[in-house]
Amino acid sequence: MNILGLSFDYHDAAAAIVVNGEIIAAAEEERFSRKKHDSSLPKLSMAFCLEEAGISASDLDAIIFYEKPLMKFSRIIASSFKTIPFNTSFASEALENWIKKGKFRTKERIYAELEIKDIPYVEIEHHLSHAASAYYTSPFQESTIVTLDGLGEYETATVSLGKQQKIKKLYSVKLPHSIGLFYSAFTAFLGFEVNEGEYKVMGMAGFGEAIYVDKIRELYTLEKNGTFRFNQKHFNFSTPSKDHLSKSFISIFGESRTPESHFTPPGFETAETPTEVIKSSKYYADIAASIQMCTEEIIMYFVEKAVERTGIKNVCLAGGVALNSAANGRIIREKDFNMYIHPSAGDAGGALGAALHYYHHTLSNKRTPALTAPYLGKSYKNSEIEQALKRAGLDNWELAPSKHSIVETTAKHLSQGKVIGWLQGRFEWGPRALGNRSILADPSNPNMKEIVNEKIKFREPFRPFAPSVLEDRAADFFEFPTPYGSASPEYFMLAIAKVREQYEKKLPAITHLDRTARIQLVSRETNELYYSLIKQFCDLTDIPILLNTSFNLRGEPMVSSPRDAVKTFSWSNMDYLVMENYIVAKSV
Amino acid sequence: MSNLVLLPSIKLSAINVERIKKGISVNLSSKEITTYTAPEESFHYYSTQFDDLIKYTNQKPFKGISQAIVVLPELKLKNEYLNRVPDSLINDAIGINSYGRFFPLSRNTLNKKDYPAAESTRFNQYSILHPHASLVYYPYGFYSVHTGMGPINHLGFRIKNDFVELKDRQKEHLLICAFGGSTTWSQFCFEGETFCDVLEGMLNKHLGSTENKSKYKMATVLNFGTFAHLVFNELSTYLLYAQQLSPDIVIGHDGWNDLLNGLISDPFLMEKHKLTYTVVTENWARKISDFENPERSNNQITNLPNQIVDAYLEKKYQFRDICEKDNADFIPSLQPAAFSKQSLNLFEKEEIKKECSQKDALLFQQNIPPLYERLNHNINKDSDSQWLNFHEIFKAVDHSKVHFGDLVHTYPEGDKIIAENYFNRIKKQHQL
Repeated sequence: MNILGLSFDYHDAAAAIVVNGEIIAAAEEERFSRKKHDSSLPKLSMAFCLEEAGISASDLDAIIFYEKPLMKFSRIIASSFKTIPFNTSFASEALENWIKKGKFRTKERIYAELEIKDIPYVEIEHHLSHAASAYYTSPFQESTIVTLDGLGEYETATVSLGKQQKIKKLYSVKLPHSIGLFYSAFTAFLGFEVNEGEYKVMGMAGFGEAIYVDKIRELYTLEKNGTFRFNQKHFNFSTPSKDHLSKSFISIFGESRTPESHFTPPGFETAETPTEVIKSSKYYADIAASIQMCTEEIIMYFVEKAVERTGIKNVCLAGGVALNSAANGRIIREKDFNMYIHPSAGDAGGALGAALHYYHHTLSNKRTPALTAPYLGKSYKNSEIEQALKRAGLDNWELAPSKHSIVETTAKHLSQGKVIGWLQGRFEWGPRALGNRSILADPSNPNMKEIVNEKIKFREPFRPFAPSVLEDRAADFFEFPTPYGSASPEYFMLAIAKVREQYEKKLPAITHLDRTARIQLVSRETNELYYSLIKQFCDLTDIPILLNTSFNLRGEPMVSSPRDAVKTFSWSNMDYLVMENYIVAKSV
Repeated sequence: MSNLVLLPSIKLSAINVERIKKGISVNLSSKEITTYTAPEESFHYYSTQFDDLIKYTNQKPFKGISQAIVVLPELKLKNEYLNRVPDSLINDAIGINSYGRFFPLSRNTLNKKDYPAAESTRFNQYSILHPHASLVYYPYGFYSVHTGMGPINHLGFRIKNDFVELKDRQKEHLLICAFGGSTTWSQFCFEGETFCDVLEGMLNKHLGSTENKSKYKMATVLNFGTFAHLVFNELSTYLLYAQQLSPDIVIGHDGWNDLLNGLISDPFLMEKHKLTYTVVTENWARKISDFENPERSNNQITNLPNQIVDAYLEKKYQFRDICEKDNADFIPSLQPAAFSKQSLNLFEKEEIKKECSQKDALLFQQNIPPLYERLNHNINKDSDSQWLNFHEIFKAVDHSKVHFGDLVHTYPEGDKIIAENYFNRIKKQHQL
């Protein structure tokens, strides 16, 4: 039984293939096309999935699409006629866009690309795809399933019950009440790109004080039935324009922050920082902190009420909002729940969810083991790496005789303060670099945050990085409840934990201003090579932790191939590039 | 003709005001009557700089005016300022930007009247945002026509006379052909200010003096600089138009465009053929082929630094070899950039800040300087080629003066330094 799951035409396009219940491969299209958030028909990911499964398109038994386009379009039309006066331009622009981009012809476009016909094609609801992505890859046989995102067809949040191979939806929140769009509105207000800059809001929040919480709370209500509502006087979520902000919103919070304008976080000012920059930076940081706190409040309320309804404390979470690691960390710390969050919680994850839903729910096949190693992308052979190096005209490299030798050499460089680009095995599923496409460095080096931010990632010097820590040593350095197992969110870098006070100063590159860090626990079972590297680094430094940030340049997707890695390495100031057994040194 | 010049509510710097005044004097006949008006917000500021300034009122009570000239410091303000133009004048309205360049707000009108040779079809327009830039005769001639800074010929070159006649010039007539992009065209300079004009003036002064001991008695510098040209385009321009003239000296004044486009051009062509090209021309193919998205995103790097620099150098040396085979002296030069200077003048800082606030500016702001350093390193190693390295030369210029109007385009003071250096080089090399 070969099932291809697909998501595209909105945010992040992706393909996933499930063979007899086993997840063989899954990848976002952007990793191959190199277009950030590529939403087009995922031709390259589909080809990769088929190749990885060793089948041709005609061997597929079903193709499952992650949402129902016609239902979605009917919502667009309905929304346009709910406004007074009717927003016909919104509807007509949408119609033109849909026709132009072939969004009414999803099935035909897939069939044409794969040169197939007569293979069953099924569409399932957007939030059901999210729910399935989380539940069927979780270790739970029964679970409360919560999905939260911008919007699907009509729904923006759902609560379902998962039992064995079945998912049953219990209730949902529909547009215009959307926590995803609510967060996006503030993302735009704070001068960041919607669907891209949400994590920057989280980062900015760490520098502010949540003093505008009461003001923001006036924008929404938490309903007794466990749902939430947003006051539409301040937003336009139904027929949104560029940033969802209404005049009324601007009258409360003032003008939006100019994108890319100077931001000096409180505490980072110098004598030369202009007073107006100090003032505006504090204001926007305080807004970020306040919106983050309110978002956490809404999420926690929604999850808590969902658990009350089902009576099941295993919670599966998916949808773009589930990538809010600060909120996730709070739920883990404050609630007695076992959380599972799908590593690709955004729309890309819907591709896998759709395929798994068809296999387990529709066909009633038994559950398969939980996803603990989200390395579902493409790997590259040594010969491909050597070819990439030769094509790039790089000659300052050597081929190590073994993985052991790679680990020893890399750990030595790291302990000497070098910054390493690290490409090993299959790339990760989801937006987090989990040790196969990572930039690595020593987290204890007091200058490292600045070096990696300014010379390697080319971003603001204050932005913090995440730590990868050996699972068996993590509790020595970080405060977090003991994980229930190796599918816990901390293994996917999806939850924030407190750095223990005594290590705050010793780990400056990965400790945020509020003494938190977005940790990744690393186990030998799921990534032996990465575990060995951190262990070797620890043997040299007594620190079982590495600074781990995604292997990409600002504004680009994470690297996939050796060529991508060579390019990123060449443009940044990394000291070494380690790809499988190849170690490349930076030429002068 | 009587003109109404609408000044902006933004307070432009004194340097910009001077350029605007010059732009008006270059583009309007001295007999034309020109009335200046400014809105309330900037009236007091401009009243000290323009005699008889009239305060603008919403009633638009201007009578006897036949043409409106709108000072548009930023194109995004176009609608706001157009609203101030009396309805009867809207079709003939002309824009003038902060460095004094005239451009048609209703482009066809200006083209027909003043630049009949630059007439183009709507299909030939570069974009709606840049209606004054067109793609006449591309790809055979040039990429875009820019008007309003002085005379241009039917091909858009800043050449006044029929250059083909120079084929039959006298032996004592020194002919120099200069190639490059908008910096050779000199987009911030009016006629007489471009480095080609200044160089020609310096050469003729010298050749006509008793100091001159050479065979040359007069010189012409032909400016074949064209917006967005890379060495690749310079090569074809040379072969199409200049080779037949057997120039004595060829100047290749470039660098920026090759590096910038090298960042984002096709990696296959770069790797396989060391070829960089004007990436925006891809949009042509896409438009002709009716692509869904005619414009690809140009903010993602596709090539490696060493490849980009190697590709530039290879094409540059190819150009040199062709010219030298044609018995021309080729002067390879690396154009200066604002970051070549040790520090910037306040005006330069402000102008660059404005430019860098644009969305895609990060691409070149961040990545061109390291490419320049890499290129500089390679050039300095290559003593045989005798580069004229303006990146090095501009490190020593007086930083209090205005040399740049943005990251790469030079103001008259910058062009003057460039001209002087070419002059000294030519004088020495050719024992003039």
